[in-house]
Amino acid sequence: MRNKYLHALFRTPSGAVGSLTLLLIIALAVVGPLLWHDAAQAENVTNLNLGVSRDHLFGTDGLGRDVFARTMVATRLSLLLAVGAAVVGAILGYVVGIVIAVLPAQLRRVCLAAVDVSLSFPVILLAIVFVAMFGGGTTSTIVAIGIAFAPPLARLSSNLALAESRKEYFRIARTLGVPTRTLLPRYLLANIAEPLLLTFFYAIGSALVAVSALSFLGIGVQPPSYDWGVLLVNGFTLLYVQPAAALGPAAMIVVTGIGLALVGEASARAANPRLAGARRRTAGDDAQNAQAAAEPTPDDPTSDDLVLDVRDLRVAFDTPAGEVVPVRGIDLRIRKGEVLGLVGESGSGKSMTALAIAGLAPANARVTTERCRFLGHAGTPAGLRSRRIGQRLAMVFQDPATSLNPAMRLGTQMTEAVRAGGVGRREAVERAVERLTDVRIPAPASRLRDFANQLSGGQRQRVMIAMGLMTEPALIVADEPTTALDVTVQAQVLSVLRDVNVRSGASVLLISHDMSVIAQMCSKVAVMYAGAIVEYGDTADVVHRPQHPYTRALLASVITLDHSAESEAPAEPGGVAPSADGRNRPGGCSYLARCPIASERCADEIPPLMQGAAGEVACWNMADKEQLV
Amino acid sequence: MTALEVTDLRVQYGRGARAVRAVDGVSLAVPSGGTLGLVGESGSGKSTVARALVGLAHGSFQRLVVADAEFSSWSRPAEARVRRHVQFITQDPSSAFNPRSTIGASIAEVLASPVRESASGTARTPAELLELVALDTGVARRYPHELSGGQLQRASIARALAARPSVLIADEITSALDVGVQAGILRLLGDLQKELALSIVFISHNLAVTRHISDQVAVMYLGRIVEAGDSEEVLVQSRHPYTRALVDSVPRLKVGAPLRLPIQSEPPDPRRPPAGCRFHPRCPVGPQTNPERTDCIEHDPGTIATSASDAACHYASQATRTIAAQDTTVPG
Ligand SMILES: Nc1ncnc2c1ncn2[C@@H]1O[C@H](COP(=O)(O)OP(=O)(O)O)[C@@H](O)[C@H]1O
Ligand code: SF4
Ligand code: SF4
Ligand SMILES: [Mg+2]
Repeated sequence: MRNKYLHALFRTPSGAVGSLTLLLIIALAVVGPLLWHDAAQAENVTNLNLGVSRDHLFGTDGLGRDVFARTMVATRLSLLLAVGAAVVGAILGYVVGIVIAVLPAQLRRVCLAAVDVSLSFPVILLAIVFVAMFGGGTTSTIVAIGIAFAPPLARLSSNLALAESRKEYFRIARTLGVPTRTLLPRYLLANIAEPLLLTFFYAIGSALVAVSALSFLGIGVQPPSYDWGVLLVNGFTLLYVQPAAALGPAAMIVVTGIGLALVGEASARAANPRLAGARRRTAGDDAQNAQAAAEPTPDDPTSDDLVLDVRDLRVAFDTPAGEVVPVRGIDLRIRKGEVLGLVGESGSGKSMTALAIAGLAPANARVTTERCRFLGHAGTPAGLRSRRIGQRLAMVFQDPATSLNPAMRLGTQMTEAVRAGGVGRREAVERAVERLTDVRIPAPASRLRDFANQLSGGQRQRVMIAMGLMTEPALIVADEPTTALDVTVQAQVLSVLRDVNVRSGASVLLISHDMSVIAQMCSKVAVMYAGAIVEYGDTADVVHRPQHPYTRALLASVITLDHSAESEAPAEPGGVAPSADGRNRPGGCSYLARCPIASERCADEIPPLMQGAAGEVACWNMADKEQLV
Repeated sequence: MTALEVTDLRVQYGRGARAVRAVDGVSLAVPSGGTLGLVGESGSGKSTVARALVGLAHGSFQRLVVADAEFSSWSRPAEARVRRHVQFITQDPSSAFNPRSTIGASIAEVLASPVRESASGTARTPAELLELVALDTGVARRYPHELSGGQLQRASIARALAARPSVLIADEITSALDVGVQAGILRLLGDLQKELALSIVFISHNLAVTRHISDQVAVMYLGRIVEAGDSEEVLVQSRHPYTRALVDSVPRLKVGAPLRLPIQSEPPDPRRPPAGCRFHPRCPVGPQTNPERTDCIEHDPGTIATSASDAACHYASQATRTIAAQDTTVPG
């Protein structure tokens, strides 16, 4: 367990640097007084206030003592004071904070108010007051600073504990009868330990500064004892003559503080099983994109009525654990006015496909195509996006709550893009009102002054569509636009989408996991599985005469109103889908592990998309015409 | 025996002008060993009913019966009775588990909790419970974030079963899952119900799934039950115009079927429910289309109990016919 923790601590560069720095400082604290004690004490009247030299790295002080040696010796006391103060502060603060959090609501409010009042005094001021009360010296410095630090730590820990105790799993555990003695340590403390640990390390850093400040003011450590703060004040008087005597101890304070912050962050991460195990994505290679975007791209007169023509689209990410490929070479052709459905289970790569063709893939994604044309213009998806033509592709996302900017009025958001394109303000606003009317938003003119949070989910989704319509799109890419909505509202959004498609002739790429939505909206449908299209054809063929075993399983598990409960138990595809990082990916067909009709060939050869009895199917044993009837 | 029954359940969020009567006089009875489906748009109060029944939301009621014990107000004995007999599963299983505990530890905690000591029957081990929900026993050593949504939902069912409840309240438990996974969870729920004689409250906005799994169905609108009865009766021969509209909004798995749009507007602000029938501003057969139906605005058709097999509409008997004639479809 400890090894795992240490390992995690050193895994990140910042964690490693921070840990090494701290280890060095701690080593200094241990050996410093042993090695340099004599040098630090040796007074030499001939060497008063010397500058930096080989013998005296930080110069000498007013009594001719070597400042470097004194700085090294002071490490121990400085560190002990800082850690001591932080421990006192943390114990006081965390205990008070967590106790406050579990108090009954009214008592809690009173206590929190008291804590808040004490928070309004600066920490250092409180510390000075307490030192004055206790008298100077080492112990009283520790206690004074500890007490001064307690209120912010108490506030923080009670906030964290309160937030945690309001979480779903905490409440559910209560209904399950998990006793308080388990709840407090395992549910509360365990889940807030990470930020508490983090702040503890920061607290040591701040305590170090506070201790030094008190010493600097002459009320902390009293001579002949000395810490970095005492050295700092000694050096300070000669700052212009002999700066190293002040900068040396100052540098130690800064370095220790940074080391503490780095370790704090890294250990917080190591203490969290979720983050410790998580793979981090590294930046990908965009060179290819950039290069392709720079190519001259003449209009192509041959691209008759194809709005979008993408061949061999691949999206890959490089991660420390290896390459992750959510989209593995798919072709998409969308004709003018066509509504193409893209259906598949979650994780099959639908959204990544949508983002990639819209040129909105994450920065670290490697997007490649063999061919990519939008309205006859060739380029990379990202390249096309950045050009004028890119505006004619509109995107509608699943989550209406996050796809609008909450801080901007709807009117500003809607008109932004066209105004940047040179349309005047008045005209842009007129157009916005028109589009909102198109998507059946009541009182559109007054709506323009509203913010996103004043709309319901269905309205937001329709405003998103209206926003896309501002630039007269030729293609609307809608990624699960109704998944988060009620059926009644879903019907409204779908009918608006249909309306727009019919009236403006814009094509639609409609992504959904719901076969019924696809069946009602789309003329063509592509079925996606594990990053590839496994079946493509007219919706009627795919829905009523599926040829790929996956499409059949998908359709069989759909539960519809007409599907009487008793007659047919819906089938669940067995096994798990291969994930995008290549785990569980067989050599041949990616559906192999779940496929009920697999044959020998399936294990060896990847089936390409082939002409089937109707449409195209990627399966060696696709259902043929006779089976289909 | 009565597994779970509540009369006149009320829950209010907030106070004064901002108060929402999220549940406004709901009476329901869960058929013993059967499933009661609760449907309605989001915000209609389904989840609040569930949360109030397990004590996660503060509600009041006239009568609460839990495993044959009757209570007239929320008290410690009532709470203990509920904890002992009723378990709750939510839509998002990832937020239902302690992220710092393994699945096995989370289940073991429930098995070890003192509330269970009074429970009869033999205790199961975490491994047995995981097997019961068709999960690999190795899952016990994994953390919640290491499992897929479907696996996690199975695990949360296993944990709920660790408490050996007689009633399971399942709130949108398949809404976040793929259809294939959803089908598996539903089948599991059916099997468990038979095996353990569980009574289930199944909450969902998905009418098809609800019809598939429920014996009885109650339809909620703005904090009230507007129609209730046998599942087939309610969802096939719906009497309330709202139920009808919900049913008609569900897309069919039929290519070329017209897109239906029975309701043009969105649910009203729950803080200011409309006068008379709360559905009247959206009702396709109400005063918006039939101005002579003034009683829809003037008289509240009220709320009904799930045991009643009825619809809270002044024109319930005529509703189905009239709507069929007026159905709004979008050309396409
Ligand atoms: N914690 C809360 N605070 C205030 N209002 C809430 C809270 N939870 C739910 N509501 C409101 O209560 C009503 C019923 O919500 P809910 O029970 O979640 O409905 P459903 O489960 O049917 O979607 C809604 O108007 C909702 O906005
Ligand atoms: S190629 Fe083979 S394994 Fe793949 S879907 Fe077809 S039959 Fe199944
Ligand atoms: S009472 Fe009137 S408004 Fe309400 S549902 Fe019935 S017909 Fe519609
Ligand atoms: Mg809900």
